[in-house]
Amino acid sequence: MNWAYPASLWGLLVVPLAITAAVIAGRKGRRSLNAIGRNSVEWQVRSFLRNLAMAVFIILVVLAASEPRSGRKPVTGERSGLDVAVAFDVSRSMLAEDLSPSRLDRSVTALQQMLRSLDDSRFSLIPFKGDALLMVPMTEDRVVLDMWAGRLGPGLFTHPGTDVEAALRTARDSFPKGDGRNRVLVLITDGDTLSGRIDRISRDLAEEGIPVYTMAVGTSEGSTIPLGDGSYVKDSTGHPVVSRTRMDILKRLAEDTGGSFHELSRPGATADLIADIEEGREFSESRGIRFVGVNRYRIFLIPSLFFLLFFLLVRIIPWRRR
Amino acid sequence: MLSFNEPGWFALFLMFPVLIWARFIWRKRGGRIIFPYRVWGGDGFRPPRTWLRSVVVFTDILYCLGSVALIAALAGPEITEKEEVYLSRGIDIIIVLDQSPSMGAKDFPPVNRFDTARDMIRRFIAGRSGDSIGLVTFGSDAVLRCPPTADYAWLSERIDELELRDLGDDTAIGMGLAVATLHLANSTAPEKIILLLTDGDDNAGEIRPEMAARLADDQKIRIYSIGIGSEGEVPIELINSENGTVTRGTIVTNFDEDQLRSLADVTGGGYWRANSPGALETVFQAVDALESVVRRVTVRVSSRPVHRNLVIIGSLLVAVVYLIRKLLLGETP
Repeated sequence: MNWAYPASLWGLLVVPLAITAAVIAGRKGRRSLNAIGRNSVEWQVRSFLRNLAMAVFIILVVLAASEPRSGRKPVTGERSGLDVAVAFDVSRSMLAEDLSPSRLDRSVTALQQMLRSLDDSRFSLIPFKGDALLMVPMTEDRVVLDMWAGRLGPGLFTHPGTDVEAALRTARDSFPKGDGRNRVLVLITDGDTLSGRIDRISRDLAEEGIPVYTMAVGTSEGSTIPLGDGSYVKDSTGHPVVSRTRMDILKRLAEDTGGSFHELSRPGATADLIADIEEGREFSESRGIRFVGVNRYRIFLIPSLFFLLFFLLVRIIPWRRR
Repeated sequence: MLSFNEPGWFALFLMFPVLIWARFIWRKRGGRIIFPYRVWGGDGFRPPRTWLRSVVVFTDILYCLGSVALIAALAGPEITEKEEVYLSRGIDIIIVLDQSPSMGAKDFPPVNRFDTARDMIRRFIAGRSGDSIGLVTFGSDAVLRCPPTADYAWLSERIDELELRDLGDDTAIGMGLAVATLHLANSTAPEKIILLLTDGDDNAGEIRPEMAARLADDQKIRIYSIGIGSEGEVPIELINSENGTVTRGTIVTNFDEDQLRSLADVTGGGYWRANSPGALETVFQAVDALESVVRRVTVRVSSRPVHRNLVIIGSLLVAVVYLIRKLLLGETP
């Protein structure tokens, strides 16, 4: 289980605040009760239970607001055809040579293989670096796609970095509206120094039922990045920068959205990726259903309401028969 | 539209009357401290109706609202939207637009032929749905500006970016048609169409228009050709986008009507001449009407959950009530 809104978990900080308030009010209350001679075990217990109920309520409701996610549920919807948005990393670390001849060349080959294999699909192409650009809109036109596939490289952008969120968002927006086609997103990246709020876009994609198939380019051992003139990219202390692939993030992204994760360094990775995409499409076309992520906020919201009720009842229920 | 995916949870509201009765009206409820507040036979004291009293009432109301919000969240509120969805494949259209300097002629108010043509194209796109539309422009050479796509927003951006004379001062109609044919060649659309807009004679490029038309015909692409421009001398104004110099003059443009007609005839399309903006609009309407195919449309309902807002509002209300009562009113227990 993981959280759709992990930032909301900060709301748990309200709990110590509530406990402090309870302690302060408790002291004052005891003095008042003593003053009218009504302090008793009954009041102490009631007070404790009530504060406990409130603390548990706050914890549960914060957990509900953070939206635990697990599993996927089917929704019906007739769809035919396939639209593939390809987000393609062109950051400088793609020049690393831990895959031969280079990460970039291998990725381009993989992309071309996809274009050939999924031949009745439409593609859009989104190269990204510190910025993302819709280079080719969703089209069936292989001539344009092949042309741009050959031109991909770090020279396309000046903005450094690897903003995956921008890339996925641009890719998501490249699906034309009002099309009854299956939608799939392919992310080809070396997964090094990723920026952007990946959890946010992954949540949106899961809700819309757009699976992300991630292709990790490179190795977790990493590699230095050649500059083309025999030297390597160096950091501020003069040591060569080693670019490593963050497999875990890419794996999570694929898992959360219902896609699959592949490593380009493994033989047959591209074929597996294509097979996975086709399998998903066939399933959707033959059964007329597809899967979207499910929120399990109720498993926390229901008990939280129970404690809220308890919070109220502690005071109302008679302690003993009068 | 608001809907709930598990409305059964609203049954929890049935508890409300009971709880309100128990909380506010039931005289034998627990948690009450009974002590005499009236001297025997004399006057008693009442809780003063100060702001403290109103805070108590106010927080009671907030507490109720908070619970209502949480129960509503439990029922799974969603905003649903209906969207028309095309299930069958639309047609593919590539618009081939003349970008030569003569398109700057001012016989098509308000600005010139080029801007009027652009306007008409925009309107044409807005009227289509589910079709893939692309754009090729030509001058001395021809360039694909946008591949056939249903992403009309991207296409419109490319149309806005166009500037006269980008591609030189000639008119390579054949090249324009050839580029469009190339990009339609492997399309799986049931109908493939080229919409040619030009105001001049083919005078450049390695491919003659007749040759291009035959290529298009081989690919079962139909060409609709539109000749733009009025007869006689017309004023022209060209603005150099680099240094802002304006060139004015008059020109006589001539398009080869027979050639445009033959292009259309070879491929089974149609030819129109448009000598005014009104005529051009009519032509576009005619094309629009000719190229409408029957397709399967379905209505898809998409929903966006909104329960999280209610959870946040509800929990904040309850927590605020708790803190106010504890810290401000010193409530106990």
